[in-house]
Amino acid sequence: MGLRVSVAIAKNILRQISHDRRTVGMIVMMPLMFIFLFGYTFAGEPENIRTIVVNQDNGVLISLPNISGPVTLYFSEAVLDNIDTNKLSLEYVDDLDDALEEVEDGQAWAVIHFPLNFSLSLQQRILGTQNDSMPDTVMTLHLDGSNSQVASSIVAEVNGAIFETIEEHNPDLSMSSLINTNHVYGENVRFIDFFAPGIIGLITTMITIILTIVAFVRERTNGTLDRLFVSPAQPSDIVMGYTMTFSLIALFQSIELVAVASLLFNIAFVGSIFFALALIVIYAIGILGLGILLSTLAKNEFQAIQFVPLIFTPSILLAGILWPIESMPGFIRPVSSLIPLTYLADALRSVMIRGWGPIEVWVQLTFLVVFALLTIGASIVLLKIKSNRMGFRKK
Amino acid sequence: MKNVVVTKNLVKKFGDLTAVDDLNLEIPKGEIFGFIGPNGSGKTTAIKILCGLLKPTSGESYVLGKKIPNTSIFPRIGYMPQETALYLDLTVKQTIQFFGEIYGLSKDAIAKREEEMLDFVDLKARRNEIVDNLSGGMKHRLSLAVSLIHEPELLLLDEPTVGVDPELRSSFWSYFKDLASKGVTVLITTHYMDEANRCDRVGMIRLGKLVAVGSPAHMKEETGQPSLEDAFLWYLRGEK
Ligand SMILES: Nc1ncnc2c1ncn2[C@@H]1O[C@H](COP(=O)(O)OP(=O)(O)OP(=O)(O)O)[C@@H](O)[C@H]1O
Ligand SMILES: [Mg+2]
Repeated sequence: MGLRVSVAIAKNILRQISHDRRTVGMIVMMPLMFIFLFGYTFAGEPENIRTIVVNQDNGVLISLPNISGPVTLYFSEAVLDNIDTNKLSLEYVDDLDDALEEVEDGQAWAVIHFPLNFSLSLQQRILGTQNDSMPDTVMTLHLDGSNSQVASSIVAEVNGAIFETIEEHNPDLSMSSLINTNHVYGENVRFIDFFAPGIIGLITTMITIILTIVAFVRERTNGTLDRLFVSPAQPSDIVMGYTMTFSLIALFQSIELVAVASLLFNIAFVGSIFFALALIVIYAIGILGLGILLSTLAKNEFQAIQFVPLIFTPSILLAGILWPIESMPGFIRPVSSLIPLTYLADALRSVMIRGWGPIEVWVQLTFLVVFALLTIGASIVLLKIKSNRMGFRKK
Repeated sequence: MKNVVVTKNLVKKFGDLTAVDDLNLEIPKGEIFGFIGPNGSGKTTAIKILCGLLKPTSGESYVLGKKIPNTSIFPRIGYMPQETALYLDLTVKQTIQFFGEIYGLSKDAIAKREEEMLDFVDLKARRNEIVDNLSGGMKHRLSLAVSLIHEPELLLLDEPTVGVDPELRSSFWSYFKDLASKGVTVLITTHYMDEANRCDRVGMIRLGKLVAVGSPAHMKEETGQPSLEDAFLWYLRGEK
């Protein structure tokens, strides 16, 4: 029968959904919920990290051109001045042991300890006259590393402050003149830019798998699938109808998500939005096929819904959405490469951050297309078997 | 082609259970044939085999001159499953439209059939109601309307009048008679003896076996019973 039947089926599913307010609400609100939750929990850097300063720096005597007589200069003070106190809320303690106890008790995240000769030794370093035998010269950062994000924030902030201080006093020795960072891609890429593409994929996975499985199981348990099987509608028409509807829903949600994420969090989007949407639709079709296949394994909606975490959990954990696949243990990585979302997230990231197109992401694109063709093909064959149409006479 | 439905030694087993046991049937064009038998006697199973929804274990069947299974008969048969089998989230009108489109009817034809069918099952006033909000009997009525939407030549109706009030049931039967007079063949299952009485012929089925076939009058005569119900019970006893 073809297109007309598919369109009728697509329209039918859309109408059913449109009469089901809760499902409509879920479709519309889920992307917003995801972007709010992920955006606000992950987009910011840690702030107000309680850090204790133990400053035993004796300073160094220097002479300044327009002031008569030597002046004591404290490099430690200069470093502390350069620390952003919004990020590290500094507290001063005299005794190092007391300070360390606070870190051990979990009251503070770090102790910055400036020893007696900190300024003296730094000055010698700047002048190139350093004396290795002098004790108590090196600043020590005692760190509670139990939260790596907090720890790395502290290290970054303190390092930054030291670099700035050195630069202020001797631009020739500037650390930034020693280290030259060149961003090939994504200067100022924040964590949200990294995970936004993955979140788009996650929502597509979640909605498509839930709606397909439930719709299909309901169609079967209601008996409407039998009705369709006894009608001129072909299994391929049925699958095409589902494909149209769920592609449309995936498109809608992706546009919604990109729009909201752009407005609220100003996420990076360098590449073609059309190519990005095409990737999402191809992926949604693959997941839809998977949903139809899974729905035949379930007796009822209750059983069917149990497949959702089965698909969702590996997708969220192993597809490189929240942390890079490179940070996973070696034996897990092959599993990641079997998860379709890995390819979508990777390709979408390349499109959104690097501005890549189909040629650069051809590997991911190919995987997604093959995945979609396989699951759709298999679900058509499965429906043909279920409707006893395999090897049917036409005339 | 005289016989619209023919089955030859049809057997359907579910594991050890024989749901349909050596069924031989011949239903000529334009006949209203009633299937009666206790719960679980195999009526639904037989109808599903004729639709092609179930594969028989052995034996063969012919519907509208084609050997089953065969996809070409689908536009020509109207199947009403025993369960209501409707999309509960659609409106009545949308339901009719959807199945009209599935059967490839034109927009005008759908509009025309919508009027006729909603008139027939008396749901015109509930046209824009969500199906889920209809009463049980009304859902059944809509389900029947859906099976008739494409004006099929053969109706396979599995308990179409369950839960339908007497007045409407009576008008359904007038409609079936009318269709039959126009050459439509009707295979219907029922537990109501008054309905069985209105069939041209009935087949009594017990434990998957056809124990008697004939016109209601013939059955009463053969068993010497005053009513079809008594005849039915007589056959059931007789087999024991
Ligand atoms: N899918 C199935 N798997 C196993 N057994 C089944 C299946 N479908 C039907 N049966 C069994 O086959 C027998 C015939 O069932 P069927 O539904 O055809 O009866 P019926 O005559 O339509 O009964 P009713 O009047 O209650 O509708 C029953 O014993 C039933 O339990
Ligand atoms: Mg039955």
